[in-house]
Amino acid sequence: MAAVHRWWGARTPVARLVIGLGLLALAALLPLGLDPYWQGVLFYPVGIYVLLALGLNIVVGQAGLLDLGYVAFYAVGAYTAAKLTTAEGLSSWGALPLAIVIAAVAGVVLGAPTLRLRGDYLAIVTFGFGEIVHIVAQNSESLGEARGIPNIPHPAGPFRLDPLPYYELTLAAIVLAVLVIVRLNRSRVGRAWAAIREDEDAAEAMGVPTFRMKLWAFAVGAAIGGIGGWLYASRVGFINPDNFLFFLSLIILSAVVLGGMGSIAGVIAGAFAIAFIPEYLREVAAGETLTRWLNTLIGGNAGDITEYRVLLFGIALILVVVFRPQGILPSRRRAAELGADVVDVEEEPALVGAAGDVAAADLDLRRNGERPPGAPVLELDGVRVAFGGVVALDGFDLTVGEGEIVAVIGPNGAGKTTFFNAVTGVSRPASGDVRLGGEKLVGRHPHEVTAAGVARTFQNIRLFPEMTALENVMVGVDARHRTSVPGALLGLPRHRREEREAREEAMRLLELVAIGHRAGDLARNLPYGDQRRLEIARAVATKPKVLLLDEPGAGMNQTEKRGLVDLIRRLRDTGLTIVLIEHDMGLVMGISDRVVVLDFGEKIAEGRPADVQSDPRVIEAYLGAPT
Amino acid sequence: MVGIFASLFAMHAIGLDPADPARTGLSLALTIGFVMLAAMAASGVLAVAMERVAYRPLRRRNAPRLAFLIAAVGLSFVLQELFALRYGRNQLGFPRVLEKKELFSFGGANVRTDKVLVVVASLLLMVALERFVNRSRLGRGIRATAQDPSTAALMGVDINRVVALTFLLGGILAGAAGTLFGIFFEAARYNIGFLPGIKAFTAAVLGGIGNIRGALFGGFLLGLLENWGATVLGGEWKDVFAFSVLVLVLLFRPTGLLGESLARARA
Amino acid sequence: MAALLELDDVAVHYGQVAALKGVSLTVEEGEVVTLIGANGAGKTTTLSAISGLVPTTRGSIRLDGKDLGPVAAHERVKLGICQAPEGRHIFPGMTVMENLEMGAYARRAKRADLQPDLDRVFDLFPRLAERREQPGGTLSGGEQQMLAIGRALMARPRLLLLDEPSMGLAPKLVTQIFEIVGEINDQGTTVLLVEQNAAQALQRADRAYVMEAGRIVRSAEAASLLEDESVKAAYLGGSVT
Repeated sequence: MAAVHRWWGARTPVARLVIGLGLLALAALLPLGLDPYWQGVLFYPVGIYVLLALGLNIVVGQAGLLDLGYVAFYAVGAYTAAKLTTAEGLSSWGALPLAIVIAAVAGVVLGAPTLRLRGDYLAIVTFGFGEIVHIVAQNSESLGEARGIPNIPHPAGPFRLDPLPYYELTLAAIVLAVLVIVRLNRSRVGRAWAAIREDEDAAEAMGVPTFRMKLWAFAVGAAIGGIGGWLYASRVGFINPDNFLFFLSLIILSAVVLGGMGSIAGVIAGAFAIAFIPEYLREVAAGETLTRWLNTLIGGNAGDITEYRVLLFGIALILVVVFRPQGILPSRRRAAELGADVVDVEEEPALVGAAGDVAAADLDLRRNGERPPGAPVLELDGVRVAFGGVVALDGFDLTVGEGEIVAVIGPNGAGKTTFFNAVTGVSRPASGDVRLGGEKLVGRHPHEVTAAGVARTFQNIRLFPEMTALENVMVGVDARHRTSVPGALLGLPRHRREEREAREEAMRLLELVAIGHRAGDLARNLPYGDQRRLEIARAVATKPKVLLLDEPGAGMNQTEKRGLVDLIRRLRDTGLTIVLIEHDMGLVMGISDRVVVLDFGEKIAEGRPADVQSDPRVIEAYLGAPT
Repeated sequence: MVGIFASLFAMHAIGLDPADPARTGLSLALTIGFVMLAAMAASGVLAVAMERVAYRPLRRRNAPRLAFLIAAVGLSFVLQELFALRYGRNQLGFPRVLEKKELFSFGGANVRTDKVLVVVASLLLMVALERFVNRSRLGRGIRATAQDPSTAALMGVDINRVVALTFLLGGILAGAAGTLFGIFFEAARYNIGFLPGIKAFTAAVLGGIGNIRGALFGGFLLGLLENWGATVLGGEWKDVFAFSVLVLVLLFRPTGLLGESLARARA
Repeated sequence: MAALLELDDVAVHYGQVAALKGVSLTVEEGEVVTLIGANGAGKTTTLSAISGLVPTTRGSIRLDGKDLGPVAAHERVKLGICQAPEGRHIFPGMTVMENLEMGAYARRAKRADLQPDLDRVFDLFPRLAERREQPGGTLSGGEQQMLAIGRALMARPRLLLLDEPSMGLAPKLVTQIFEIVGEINDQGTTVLLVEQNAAQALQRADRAYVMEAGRIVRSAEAASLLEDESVKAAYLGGSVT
């Protein structure tokens, strides 16, 4: 499979387009020669499964959220179509947009209360939602209870009993879904989803509104399910609750997992296989033999192979998760995330962007240049943070002036990282105040704090490891942009401008931190020192007023540290205000304007580096008091 | 790692019951005891086997939670379908083991022998489980692993054995529940464990994950709420009600009613 | 005779990042040896490699000449290595008593057989005796540290690994903890001590190793390093620029 990837990666965009269109023409024309039975199979289950798998893939594959009740949205689409056409007298075409919108709304309704939950809880709750939708359909008189809704009209046009037009229509819907996914993937939204999947906390810290983005994934996935429901209801003309059982959710999930979560080609192939193989085996002698054989094996008496479908796909699901978590046609990025041994596929060709030294002065990193140097930017007033009974930070006051470099030092466990967490909204202070340029920060979500103008790096490097260096930085730039799903889908001018800006700015920032030549490399493949630099570039990309660096020099050798000192100075020269936590005193003493010493959550000293260095209390805090 | 889905799919093991010998010539107590022990042994062994086959490889690879969840869903369906294909998808009768006599009536509620059996057996199992987990050396190992796995290893706890042990316990209890279910409802079906599994999870969340007494309390409370909901809204809405309770608890009190810290219990 | 513990050219990687780049050291029976150095130098990783929590990518670790390579972490406890981890890591939901019993987990001893060990721990840390039924999570930082050390002693280790026992403790408590470390050593337990509080550690230890960036850069009699300017520099720094 790696060979396929490599081959595909080596094609030019034009060649890719031609090949894609060729495959599409094949898919559209091939069924013309088949008899209606097989045309029917290609519509349902094959076409519908592929469409649903693409929709579920947005939720599971792109955003990394396990949804066990996906079929509910398919049901909502189908019932909306059925109800509106039979009871409200709408035309079938007229019901389509409503089916899509109502399914999307159902996605938001399910997502809004549940998307703050952790993975396993989310899975159970989505399962429960699927069951609720089923029970509601089963028991509501207006939805026909267990009998369902008959006599759903066909859409106007060539759509009657003949399956072929429906197949072509489904194919069109699939193409649309693929376009939607590709567009979103190449936008701020797709990057946000990838970032959430890889490291939700880091994504939030980089200004990604994680909750809203997850909600969008649910809504877009649900909308595609809604189209599927409308298609099914329009063709079959009759639906009942048993068309929307949990086992269908499972089948669709199997398709996504088997094919390869996050990979469009994989998901399509997976869904095709899962839908087509049982139907095919049912018709051939080999299938009959297999059924007999399985019947003897487990003592069953199934009539044909389709009854074994759930069992076999369940087994396949386990085998794939255990032995080939990336799926059959994996997405390059997801493979490594899922812990598979990845055969490294050739990277995408390096992205454009003139290499060369970028003078820091070329970049306007400052958000508000009007503030005079030294005016207070970040102010902390009596900040106290406690975890359970342990006070991690107590009565901490600090004022950082525009353009300053302030270092925070102190022994392990002194409360330094807690200070960063209190500023960035990760931990909420029990009392005290944090202000940025006069604006209160306490009580805001981390992504809002980032938007307000505080960016940070992490002590133990938290990049998005399976995104390229460039994409990592683009996530940072995205924090200042506005484009969301509609803009990205429609390719609005603002979206195009923001994409171009994000790319150019990210490239410039990579060059500023001297790793421009690695723009196309996955973050996890960068050497350690470059990862630190990349993390700084990503934080700077949000255009912070204050940049918080948590032990930027940890694990670096002397040469790398010298480079780091140089970089920090250059950043300051562009107008950034910097607060850093650092253990390497040489580094601290060399660049800081001011040093603050924490011990036991309290400030024990503050002043110019040289004074602090010779303060006996500081020496004691570090080396311990000789007895 | 006491996985949430573990209890869920272990519940499917109650499908084992119709295969058990129903009545032997032994006395009633011995019959119930035998059936229950057989069910407990079978589902306990099955749970351990599943841990070996699916979860241990994932743990070794440090797989993301998504992988565990998907494996759990897969396992649950494989078991269910195996029983469906072997025993058919229709309801199977469960032999009457216990004569259902009304013992006495209390405030309009009639107290029957089988109901007494279910309540007494659940309480006994809970007490036994609580004693095991809280008093024994292995029980301490389980709790230590739940609270801080790497420190537990530093104390000499074999994490793999402890995880297998928790699966065994989960399976054994699910097996016992299956027997009681069979005696009470006198029917079995391939998918009979599915909804109870979800509800068991709901009950555990309601009471507070990682808290045995909380789970029992949650179970009783959910049962009461559900039936109250059924009388108000109609029986067909009972499950909708149960799921709504789950969502509400997760939203407003994720640590459960008697909860320890959730983060700690699930670490 | 082989030393109690021997590390020979041990390397450890986290992903692609080398945390230890060939560490060799020995600890003789009955000694207190300390490992000092700035944050991120690899001290804790060295202890984790010895107790088996992280796999080594090169080199060997031997206890009494026996290679520990294939021995899992929980098995090493039975061989006599027990660690009081950095940040204490007591079991917060368990009582003091249960935490101590966890320390003896690998011994499979009956409760009565543990009594002498419990007496010893309560003798060293009378505060713990007062709080034996209290959940570990409600103890103060100093008490938690006492419990972490006491818990490790319950395993009757031949080699006690202490990771930053002074971390986050008030100076008075620090002195007390180090006195007790000395006492434990006098009772016959070998101690390998990782410390940031170099002054205290060097006073108590027989020998010391100084670590920097994943390597041992110096080894010497502990007392000789006490007044050493280069040690001070390793912590408070000269100038890189």
